[in-house]
Amino acid sequence: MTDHDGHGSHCAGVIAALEAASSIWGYAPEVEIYGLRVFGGADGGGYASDIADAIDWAVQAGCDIISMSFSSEIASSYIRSSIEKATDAGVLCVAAAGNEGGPVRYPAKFRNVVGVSALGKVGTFPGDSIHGDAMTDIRSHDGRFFFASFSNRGEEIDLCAPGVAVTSTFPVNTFCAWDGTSMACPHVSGIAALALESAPDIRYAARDVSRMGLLMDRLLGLCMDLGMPKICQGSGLPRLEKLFMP
Amino acid sequence: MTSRYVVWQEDRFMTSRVSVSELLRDFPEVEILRAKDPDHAVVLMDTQTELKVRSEHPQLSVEPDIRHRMASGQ
Repeated sequence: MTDHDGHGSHCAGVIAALEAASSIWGYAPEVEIYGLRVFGGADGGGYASDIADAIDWAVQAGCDIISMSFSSEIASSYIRSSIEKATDAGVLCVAAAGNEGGPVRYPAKFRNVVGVSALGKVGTFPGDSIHGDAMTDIRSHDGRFFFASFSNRGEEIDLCAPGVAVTSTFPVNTFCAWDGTSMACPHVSGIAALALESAPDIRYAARDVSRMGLLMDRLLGLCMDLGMPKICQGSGLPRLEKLFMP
Repeated sequence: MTSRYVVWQEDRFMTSRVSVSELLRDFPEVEILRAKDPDHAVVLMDTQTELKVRSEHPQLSVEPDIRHRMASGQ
């Protein structure tokens, strides 16, 4: 598959990159990852029908987590129906909140979807770079993290994750740093994959809605409260190291 | 002007087993772009036809095929 815009490659890299020479690592390099194209074509794509078909396909293929780095202001009940079927099959659906600096968009706004907002980390990019536009005064307790200006916010935010100057894979055989809740979403999906791998009781549980709930609870248990408003951070930033604590 | 729509029927309405495509045959102005199975179709039609379809087949769900955007800036 050719990735014409690099969006899918960048998101996939956050989850599963393995490039020791460039110190680019995804959260779960051993994960089995499927890229399903829903954008592209003459008119740019992104139709609800294509997205719903992709969700249905992922569920049929036995995927555990669906990472959705896209959004719409308008709710599609067609997509919602597919997401409900995915949830009923024990699949965790994670979605980007959107980049309009306003209310959370769909599908992140749906009740049974993990909505992800974007954070930046101070000192991880040149101050005079375009990434600096994302800085706000909404800071973590320790001042290290800021809520990204472009990130949508609201009661539907479940978790927050890095989404400013995120370096990841880009075609062909290179890397680049992008901003967006698109980049924050796969952070959560990658950690969710590791959380699932490290919890055999959930991994091998019956594939039903309670399995999805168990994984979500485990994900919430990894969160660090940054001290930001709940509409910005949700339950907080999931921390990988918490997975390995006794 | 025509736009894309998704037309589908839920399981509970499947007793007749008449496919969405068959039901839409009564509307020659509807262009079926694809039908992945008997219960789902992606079509092109105008708003007047949309209203007619909704009125004559209330068991069908009809919704604009809403476009989504990637949530990234570079």
